[in-house]
Amino acid sequence: MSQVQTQEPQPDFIIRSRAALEDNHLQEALEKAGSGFVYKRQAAIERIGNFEQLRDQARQVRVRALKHLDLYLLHFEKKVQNAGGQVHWAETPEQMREIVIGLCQAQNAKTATKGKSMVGEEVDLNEALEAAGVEPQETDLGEYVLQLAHERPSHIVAPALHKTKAQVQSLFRANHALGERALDEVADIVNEARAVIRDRFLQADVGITGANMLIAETGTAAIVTNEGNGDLTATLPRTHIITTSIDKIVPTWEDASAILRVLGRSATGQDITTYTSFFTGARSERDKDGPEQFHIVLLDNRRSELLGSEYEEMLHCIRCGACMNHCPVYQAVGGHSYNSVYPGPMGAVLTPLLRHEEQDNQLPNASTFCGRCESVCPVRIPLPGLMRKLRDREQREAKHASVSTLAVKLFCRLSRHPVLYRRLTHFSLKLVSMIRGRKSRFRTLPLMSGWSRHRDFPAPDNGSFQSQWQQRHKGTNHD
Amino acid sequence: MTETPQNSPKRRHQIGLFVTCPVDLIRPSIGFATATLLERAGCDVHVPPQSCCGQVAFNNGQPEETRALAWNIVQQFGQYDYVVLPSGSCGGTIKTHYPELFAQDERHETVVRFCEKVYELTTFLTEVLDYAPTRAGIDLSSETVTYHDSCAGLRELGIKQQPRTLLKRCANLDVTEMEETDVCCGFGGTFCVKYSDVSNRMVTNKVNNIRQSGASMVLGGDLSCLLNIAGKLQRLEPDNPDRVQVRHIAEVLAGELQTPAIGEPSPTRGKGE
Amino acid sequence: MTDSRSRILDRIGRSTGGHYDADTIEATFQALSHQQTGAPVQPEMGLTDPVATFTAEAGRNGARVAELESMTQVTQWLRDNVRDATTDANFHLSPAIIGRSLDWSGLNTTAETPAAAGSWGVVQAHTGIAETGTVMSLSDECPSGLLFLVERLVVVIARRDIVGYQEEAWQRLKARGALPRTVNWITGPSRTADIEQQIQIGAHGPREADYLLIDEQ
Repeated sequence: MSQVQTQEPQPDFIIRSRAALEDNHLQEALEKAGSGFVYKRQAAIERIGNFEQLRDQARQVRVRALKHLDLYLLHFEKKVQNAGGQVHWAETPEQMREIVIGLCQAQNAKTATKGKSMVGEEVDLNEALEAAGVEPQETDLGEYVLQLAHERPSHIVAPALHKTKAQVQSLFRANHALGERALDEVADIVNEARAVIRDRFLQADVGITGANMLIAETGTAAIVTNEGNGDLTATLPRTHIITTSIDKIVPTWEDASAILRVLGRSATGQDITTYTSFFTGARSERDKDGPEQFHIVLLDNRRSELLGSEYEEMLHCIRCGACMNHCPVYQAVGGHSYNSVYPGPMGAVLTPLLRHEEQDNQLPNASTFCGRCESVCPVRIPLPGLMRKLRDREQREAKHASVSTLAVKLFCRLSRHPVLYRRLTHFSLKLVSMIRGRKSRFRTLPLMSGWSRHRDFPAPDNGSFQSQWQQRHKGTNHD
Repeated sequence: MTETPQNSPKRRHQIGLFVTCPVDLIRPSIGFATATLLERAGCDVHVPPQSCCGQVAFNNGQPEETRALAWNIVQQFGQYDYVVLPSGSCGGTIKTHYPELFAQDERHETVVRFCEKVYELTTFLTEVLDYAPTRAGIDLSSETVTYHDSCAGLRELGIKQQPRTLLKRCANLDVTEMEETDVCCGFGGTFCVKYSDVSNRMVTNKVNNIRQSGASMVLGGDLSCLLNIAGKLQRLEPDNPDRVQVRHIAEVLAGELQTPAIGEPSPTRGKGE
Repeated sequence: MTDSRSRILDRIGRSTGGHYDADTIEATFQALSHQQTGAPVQPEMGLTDPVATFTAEAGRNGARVAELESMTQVTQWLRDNVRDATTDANFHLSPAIIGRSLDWSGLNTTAETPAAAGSWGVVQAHTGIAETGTVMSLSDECPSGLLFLVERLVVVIARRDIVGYQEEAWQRLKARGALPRTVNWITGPSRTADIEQQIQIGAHGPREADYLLIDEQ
């Protein structure tokens, strides 16, 4: 028999989201970001006539890539090696950290510039590099701000979305010894970051970036950016290391086009980002520049277990962020409430799958299933459906049935007997109607304080619809 | 059956009316308005014993319980030509999710065929019956009324234009659109109780958009969202007699506005909470 | 890490059913990648004249497009435009541009690493892509770093090198043989929206992008 917990646990997401709702800086930042992403995406897809077909095509590419994922990875590996690069395989975050640190130490590297890599964030690479005596330098403006603030990204495309301009100003004043200067305009901030980081690009021993796609055909890693930092990181140092994951494979260059055509439009409303760069191996004698060493570290971290499972479609994700941009829950509480590198709807599915920790069970529950995420996902991942499967998994694995679970089950058992249900609800409503008196609504509800803390509830009518219908149709209707 | 109801003009559609739990328990007037509309449109309306479509179980990790309830519904309502619900949310659960729930089940075929004759009210009136009353029952052309597109209806069943078309035909009303009409109100079933504060933020945003539209009334196709919206409007302005009124579209289409709006005091019953 | 590699591949293989040895990978890959069905879906945007669409899309993405007749006009265009610049301009040329005997009088060319203010890059694109107003540069023709370190990037592009859609650029690329280390696609000046989602032109890369269209024989 399952034990019953008398009190609902106070899970992480609830505590964090409450704090987020009361955080004025965060709320100001979220409000400023607001629906900007939504409108930009809408405008971009309206400029072309067949975005829905482009979505279908992108989804097909992801399906094909996963269907023969091992073949494509092997082909990718061989081509990288032929082009003078190396591929490394990491089953766990720990292994990925070890590999990257080993590569840095083999180069006697003291400094590493970094482009934005969510996989790098997933494995806590910066902390590990610092501990190993390699100074990581984030170069993406958002990531740089977070490095100064010692914070994690709150969005997979706009990592510092939760920071206001004023907060960035104070961070810059506290960290850059540049004396009195104006930092009021966004342009001032961007220019200062550009100047501060420029030298570091030129001096870094190693450059570490992520990858948006791995093209199996030629062993090519594709990176899409707007700032140009990714390319300076990938091109100037002697060694370029890419931290990415096994699911980023696409078979061919044409397939890469299919993804690019939905990625920018879905993410930032751009037909294409300013820079799309394709790196194949190390610099050859024909090349005018580029790194002498090229390494790609592929992370698994439970992704291979998802293949062939009921959650496989999550591996289709191309990390555009459209789901969180359109998610009313994310928009209310921001990314940090999810306590994961991957927030919002895609994170609510991916985090419990990659970490499989009890606290993460809250994430797929923290959704109204409004479906807006699925409706904008460029590769049509059924995000609410996957969250629902995770809710099923949580209940299957639960050691204790919570009060709310028992209530749901009780209600369902009663509902299996419609006639009994009709009688019982009829009498209950009569009872409520008696105690209701002349009230048209309630300000407090027993057992439902979550509702009545914030809203009134209408007093029910005198008897259920079914009982009233029966009264009116006595003798005329056998239903 | 030798003749399908569609190509037999003489035989009236036999409709199984599935009112949904919230309507059954909290606001029967929506059920009666729905029945009235269907009868005016030339249908015979039947109300078999009914309970929950299973959505509560389905969204709370109980697929077995859901299947049991779903099969109940299929059996209770299988005899009718059509099954009509004044809800996109429960309609979505049935039409979109019952087939997938029975995907590995020998009853799948039966379930799929059943779901094909299940309709949300406004879709049924526009797309199956092309309902257009000879004259509008009420005239709301001078009113400012806005419409909340409930999520499941909008995204699972494609309900967007249907209610607006009917409001024009039945009440001579052009909807005044609010900002973000397609964004969730924050109800989400058990979500609004479990994640009370997040839900509160969402419904506050919704209510702000409603008020900014200048509307005196907000309509919708799902009672649960409307309870959420009305409850928030009333909590925010308990003493304002001119606060926005909240109603289900069926009541307006049927011209039955004598019942007080959701949560509003009846003239005969005294006022306030 | 060989063990990690085989364990990962084993787990994947359990789902894909694939078992490959080194000799069959290439053949199996070729067979599979040719299974692609039908023509690719490309954005419907009324693309009939690649040069016109290229010009429009590049402009929409923040690049300035100038219509010239030939390569010899490029340096005169530079002289005309440098007059408006507030700082002394240093011109960093790609090898392809150096290889052309152009009249650089009055323009200060340099082979040094582009420093902050006043650095202009002058390069020739391998291909232009009308679909998005994008120029493609290859690291065996032009150092990739040059494209990012300068303040103002001037890309010369021959009208005959402008194709309609991305797929045509891939064909041109594959037809050359071995890939260069870096293929750069550039669409306008560098930008960021990381501060309060306000688009700011000029992040780490060039603040300005000029595309000069020329005819070549």
